[in-house]
Amino acid sequence: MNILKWTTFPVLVLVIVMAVINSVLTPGFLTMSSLSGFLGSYAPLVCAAVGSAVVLFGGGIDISLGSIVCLVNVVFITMQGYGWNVLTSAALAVLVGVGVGALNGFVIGFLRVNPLLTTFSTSSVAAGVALWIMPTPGGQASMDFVTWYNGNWLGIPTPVYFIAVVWLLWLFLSKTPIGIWLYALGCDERKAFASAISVAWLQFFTYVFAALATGIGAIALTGSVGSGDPLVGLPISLNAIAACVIGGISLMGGRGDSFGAILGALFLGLVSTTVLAAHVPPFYQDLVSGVIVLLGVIGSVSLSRKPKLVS
Amino acid sequence: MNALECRRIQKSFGSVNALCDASLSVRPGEIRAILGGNGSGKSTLAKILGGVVRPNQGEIKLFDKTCSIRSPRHSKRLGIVITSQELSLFTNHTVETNLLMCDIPRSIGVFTNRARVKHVGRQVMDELNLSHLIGKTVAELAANEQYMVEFAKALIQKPKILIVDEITSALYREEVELVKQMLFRLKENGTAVLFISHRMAEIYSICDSVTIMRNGETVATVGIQEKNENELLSMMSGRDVTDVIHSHTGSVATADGPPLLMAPQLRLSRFGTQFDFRVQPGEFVGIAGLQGHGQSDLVRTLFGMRGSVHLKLEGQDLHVSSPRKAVAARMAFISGDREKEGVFSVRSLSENLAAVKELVMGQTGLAADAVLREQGVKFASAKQPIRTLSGGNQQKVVIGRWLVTNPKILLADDPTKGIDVQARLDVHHMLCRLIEKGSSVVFVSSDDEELVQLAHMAPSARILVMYEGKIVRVLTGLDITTENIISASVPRGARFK
Amino acid sequence: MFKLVEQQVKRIISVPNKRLRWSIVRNNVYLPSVIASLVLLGLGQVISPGFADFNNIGNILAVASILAIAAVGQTMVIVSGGEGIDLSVGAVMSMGALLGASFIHGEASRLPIAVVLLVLIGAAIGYINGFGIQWVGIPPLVMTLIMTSVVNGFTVAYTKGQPSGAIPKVLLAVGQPIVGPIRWLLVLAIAILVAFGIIMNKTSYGKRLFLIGSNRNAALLSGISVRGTVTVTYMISGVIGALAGLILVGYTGNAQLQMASDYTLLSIAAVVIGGTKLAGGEGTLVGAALGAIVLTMLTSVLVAVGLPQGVRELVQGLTLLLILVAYSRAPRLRQ
Repeated sequence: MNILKWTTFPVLVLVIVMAVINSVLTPGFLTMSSLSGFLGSYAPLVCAAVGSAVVLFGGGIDISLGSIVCLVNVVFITMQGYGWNVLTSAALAVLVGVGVGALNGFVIGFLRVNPLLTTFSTSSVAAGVALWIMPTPGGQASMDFVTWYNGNWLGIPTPVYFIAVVWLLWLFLSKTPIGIWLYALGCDERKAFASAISVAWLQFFTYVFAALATGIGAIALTGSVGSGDPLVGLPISLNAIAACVIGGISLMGGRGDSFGAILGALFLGLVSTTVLAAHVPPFYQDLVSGVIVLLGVIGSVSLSRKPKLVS
Repeated sequence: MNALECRRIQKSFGSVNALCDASLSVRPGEIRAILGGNGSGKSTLAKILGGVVRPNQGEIKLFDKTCSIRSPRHSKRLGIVITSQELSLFTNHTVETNLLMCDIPRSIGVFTNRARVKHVGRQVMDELNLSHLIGKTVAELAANEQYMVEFAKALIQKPKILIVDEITSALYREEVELVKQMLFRLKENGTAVLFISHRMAEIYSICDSVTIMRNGETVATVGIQEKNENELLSMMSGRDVTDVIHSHTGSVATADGPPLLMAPQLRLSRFGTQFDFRVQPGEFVGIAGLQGHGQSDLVRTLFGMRGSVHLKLEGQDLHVSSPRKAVAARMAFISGDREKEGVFSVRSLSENLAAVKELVMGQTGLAADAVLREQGVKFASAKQPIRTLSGGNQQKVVIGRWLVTNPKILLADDPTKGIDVQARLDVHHMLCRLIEKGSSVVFVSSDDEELVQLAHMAPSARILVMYEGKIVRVLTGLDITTENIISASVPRGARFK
Repeated sequence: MFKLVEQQVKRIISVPNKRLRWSIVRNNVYLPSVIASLVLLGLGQVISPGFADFNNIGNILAVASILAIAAVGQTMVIVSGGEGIDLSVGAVMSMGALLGASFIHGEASRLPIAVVLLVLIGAAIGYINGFGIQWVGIPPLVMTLIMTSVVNGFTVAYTKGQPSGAIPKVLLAVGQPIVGPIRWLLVLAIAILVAFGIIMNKTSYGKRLFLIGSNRNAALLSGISVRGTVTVTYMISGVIGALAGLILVGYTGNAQLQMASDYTLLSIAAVVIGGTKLAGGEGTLVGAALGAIVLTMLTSVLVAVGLPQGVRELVQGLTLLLILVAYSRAPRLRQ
């Protein structure tokens, strides 16, 4: 395979560059404990980015993932507040998130409404419900769970398992015909329909999968922050998409792979850590990281494709 | 027993009647040609059988059982397979994945069995001498290869009823021969074939019978030996066409003197070829060849769409780096792809007409109504959106957009593709009037007959035949015939070189 | 407004064919917003008497005016097509509010300078958006999204995280009534709408904008400068956003970080409710203004009912979803 044609190649370079810069700025960055902390903070974004990528493969877009994170986080914490155990409340919370995904999938796949506008509306619905359940930040996740999440499990940092579950779930699905159909759908919806592919169900599936992946990410996020906050996930909506674009996944559909999304999310995380590690004055941190991400996207996009005027 | 029987199928899109009364029946093992002009409803009928289009009325029987085809999936389950001229291939997938798209083999019932996909794909492609394509993505294939893959994809599905919708027009002779052999094999196995084509020679050598369609109706079905070519064409157009087709006997003049446009060492980047290109004032230059051999690239390169190009227009040096620069030099470009590159579909006729003259050249005072009438556009008001017009009328408006700017040279990339016969003639007359005013026209067409007709209408003309990005033959004067174009389009033994 | 509805309803009832009647209702872009506004107004009055009095209507129109102004830029960007969308509107407005307050620093005489500076900064942001989208090839959604964090970062860096500067009386006057429910803000919004309506429909730039939005390739082949026109459109959106921020701070009286971030999605919603298609090439400012009124009215009713913020968001989301399902479904795959 021609490495320059590999859509994930640019982001791989970006991640390596940022990792090198980071380890120079913070000598201990590449140690296990530091990496574990880093992954703990960014596993939620990675999970959401994989979900977002699957929607993008099929030619859709989902900007409701951040709100789904908020909703799952709030439900999870609330259930625990009622004394449910971690596993049950986590499962229920993820299920609620998947419900939002199913709503997305139904409206987009079967009612054929524009995905951007649909997920925009449902993000308001999900965020509204989160805010309704928990108007102000509060609650407490079980200490056992928080300790478990921020430590190692079987010798590997726990956040890695969250990423692995989501990614393996997708890899599993991509080895079934769904993987082929999805890229076909992203390439051309009408041809996919004419080729006897169930377009509506496939679209439905992508949004449900995205919600599931994001829900799992939201559980990780709860482990990372340890409490409930109805606004905690909002930046994820758009960061997950930014991660995909940096990872070489086309917004037009049918192009890119999920590994790119993971690296894209890690790149965004590395940018934030680098800005912190470089002792940028606090008021300039947002600006600097914004500009770095912008440069990263410019680099990734101009490496992976040339803007074509007329085909 | 009939494999397929359609009775009084009717379909309209909005106010346009695509099919008003289509009826036909085909026996198992019969190869039936469907012959008809543009807009006669052939493709709509195919799409209805494929489940992509829902008929308004009518009855479909398969093997004497009435069924209503509910979806493409249902159609495939009933054994109907379509190869379409629009291609059903996904450019981002490999050839073998595309071949098995409709029935992906699995291992342990869940996972895609990649090895089997490759194996089955290779088997079919072997039979078609195309196994070297396995592993490539469809985007990497040439047009003719894509059409062969499309055909192979149909074979793999073991159709009971196969509809071949104009895929042979982009194929080489050897490939058409292969398609023919495969169809004969299917015929022996009892498959009914609907063969949609406008190439008479193929119809006569492949088909058993022919159904003629006109204006959305099936007008007649006859055995292939019962009628000769001219009789079929007459039935197709509803008038006697004997003279029209064979009337070009006169010679065509060739222009000389200083050229209007010179393109020294013109480079086609997609093929890496280079050649000199020139156009005389008031000349018609037809560009012929099989689809995808650089004809379109040639005119697009001249119009600055493939990067900067050095031209000499009326002796003046000119660097055209974008369509904008080309327009400033009074060049014009008409695309055959109206939807993608021609019309501003949601905007009005007058906006469509004024796009270049008013917004690019900064001239005002365009009398839209008068121009539209002059070009023979059928319209109610210049304010109506252009999408409410028929395809032919839309294209007339697009051409009118350029004619009002008085271009020195007009480049046309298959501008009459998919428009009806009458509109096509109107377009030809529009271009001829432009040539009479002293402008030149460079005209790409996938229809060789059209190029010959236009060459005979123009005061001076040449036809260039392209192959793999090069001009392989220049036809002038008496040599301008469809036979010469066809023989130059397919160099001997090219397929196996 | 009532007369308009009456005329429309009469016209529709006079159509004999039932199906045709429904299709007219569906195809009239303004009708849903007008009806929705009136229904909401009535509902508000029932729920909380006094909702429909002059002062409250004035309030609603004033708030809607700010959204309508913000939606002007959004409309133009969406009309320009090519998946055009400006997600940086909210950030640019917040920036306009904070930087504007800081530039003026309580002195009315510095207002003109502040306006000039904001126009320049807004144009620069729009230019960067246009550059990334047209020259680099970044999808508008992503480009303007990333600009959101850059602009927010810039605002924090400039203000050192501390909003400063008092708002002079001149600027505060935008919220003051002139006659009855009419406030300066409304007059200002109408003036801006009329000005940009003329720019869109009468100037060469505006005509190019519609054609480019309808078909990028065809525009390019016609020699129309696509890149230039699109970039100018994003610049206009940036300028309008920055000035809308200044107006917003005049209305609220104090500036806060990210005070206008809601306006990004609200402006898109207003444009869509107003009947503009995301596909580009079509759209009206009047529609966007009506959409702004509907959204503001909806929020006011929900506030009047006394619902908590979460439920308000929920209802807003569901309402928009219903509007989308009713009005903007793509054609079926099977024709």
